[in-house]
Amino acid sequence: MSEPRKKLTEFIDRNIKWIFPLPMLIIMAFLLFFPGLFNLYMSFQRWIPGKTPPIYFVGVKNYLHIFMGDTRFWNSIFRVFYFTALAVPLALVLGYLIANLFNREFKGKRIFRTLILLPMVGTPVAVALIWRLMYNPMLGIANYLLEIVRLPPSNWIGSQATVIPSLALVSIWQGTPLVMLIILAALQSLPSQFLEAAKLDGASYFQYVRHIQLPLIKPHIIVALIFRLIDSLKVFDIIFVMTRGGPGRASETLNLYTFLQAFFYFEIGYASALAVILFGMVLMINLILIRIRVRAWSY
Amino acid sequence: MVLLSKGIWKKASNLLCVVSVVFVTALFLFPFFWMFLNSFKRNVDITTYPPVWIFHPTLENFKTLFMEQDFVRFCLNSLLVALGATFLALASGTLAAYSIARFRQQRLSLLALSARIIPYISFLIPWFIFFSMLHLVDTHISLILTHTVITLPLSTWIMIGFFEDVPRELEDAGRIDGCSNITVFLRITLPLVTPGLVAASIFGFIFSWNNFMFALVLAGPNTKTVPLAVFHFISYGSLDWAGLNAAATAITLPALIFMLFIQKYLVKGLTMTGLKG
Repeated sequence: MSEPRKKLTEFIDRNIKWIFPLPMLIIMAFLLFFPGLFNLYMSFQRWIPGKTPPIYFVGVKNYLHIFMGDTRFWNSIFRVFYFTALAVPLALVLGYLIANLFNREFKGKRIFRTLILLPMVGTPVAVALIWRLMYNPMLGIANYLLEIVRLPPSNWIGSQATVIPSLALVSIWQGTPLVMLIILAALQSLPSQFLEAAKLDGASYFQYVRHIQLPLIKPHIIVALIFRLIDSLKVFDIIFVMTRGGPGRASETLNLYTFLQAFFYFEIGYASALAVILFGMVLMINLILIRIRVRAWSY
Repeated sequence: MVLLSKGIWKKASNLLCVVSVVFVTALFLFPFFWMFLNSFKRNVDITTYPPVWIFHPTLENFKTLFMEQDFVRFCLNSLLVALGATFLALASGTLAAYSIARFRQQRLSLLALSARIIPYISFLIPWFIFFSMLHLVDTHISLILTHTVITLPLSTWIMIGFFEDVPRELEDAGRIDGCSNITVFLRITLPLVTPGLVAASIFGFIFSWNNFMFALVLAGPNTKTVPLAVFHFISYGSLDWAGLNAAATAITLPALIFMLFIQKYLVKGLTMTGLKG
């Protein structure tokens, strides 16, 4: 080995602590950090295609217009919170219940646990199309199932009143398995003596759950909650494929509205400002949750 | 007598739980089952109401999909992009994860996670502008680079978990024998985390393969990926529901089969990252 090369190897060897993360940091700088800053810069500009240069500075005008005069923006905020309020709590409760079902030994446990996880790796475009076909009011199986249990047929994603709950159902279907997996891992780390001790002390199963089990798995529930919230607030694929924001604008969430402003109307500056707001919203909610349970991250 | 009835009660409640597990699993799998079933139907069988369960199965839909359309080319595009993004993420993510796990660099791990938290739309607009200026829209390079944003936090977080499980004593033993830090990493630690590398590759591959939003903006006729192709399938007004189901089945199947293969490392990989998105 030549002298300079040997020196270089020795140098790396002594400093792997910060040399090893370098490739990742470089990739993240070029793909995330600089584009993120550029997005912030663009949010103070207006983009006029065909002009040279195509941008000119408008200050906080984009933001002013968004907050003061854009009802479409406020509606999209309302819709994403409505969607989240339906999709996240239900996924958490369902995930918790299913995790409890799985928290015992039985034959074929592993294969069932794998099978129930499949919704989360199904290609979103494909599953959105399948749900769209199932929701079809004329020939979909969803209305057929309603008919079997003697309920009136629904228009599902076809009517303004039911489109958000119908989309939330797809999101619950996709999201519950991950919640279940995280909570199951937590439940399995609880020693079984806890339940026995509680029983010996005369506690009912319900009391055990409320005073012992739930407090102990709280950090994991918060982790699951954080991931579901992130995915809900930035939901895109299923809505874009199933309704593209329709009928009318009844399912146009903030992420979708931003996308349309950027790539359908080419209001790049305005869309950048919307993206900054969405980013701020997701970040704030996460910071609050992380504060609630800092240690929850590093388990 | 009391004991006996208690035993029976316990058995019954266990049985009830297993039955519920089967029922719930079936419920969650139903959309896939329905898609699979529909992909073997003719269009007349799909568009009848009430839905038919028994029909004459046909392979015609898959034949049309793979013979008459460019579906194979779209698959190759997706394959190339997913492999590229997975490789980039694995190479850089594994090194970073080692440093994070060994030197307890919590901040770096949160930084890696930030790529999972921030809405992609905030990067997509700048990317579109940059890649347009560099004439890289509709090239595999731009897709591979952007998909790395999905695969990188995944592989980093999965590998952190696996590196933390390697006992430090093993590495110290190597050092006492005179190995350098790099040799210890390459010869002792890395071979021990091979399952992690496999799990990280497969998850990376699946989530890059599934991504739709980036290709929607950055792909074009030359680089159309399968999710985009399937999406265009409907937007051009065709109502070939059977063909659509066949296409959906064809693109979902690889991910589902991969999942069954890595069952063993599944829980670790998934709970570490909470991934998807």
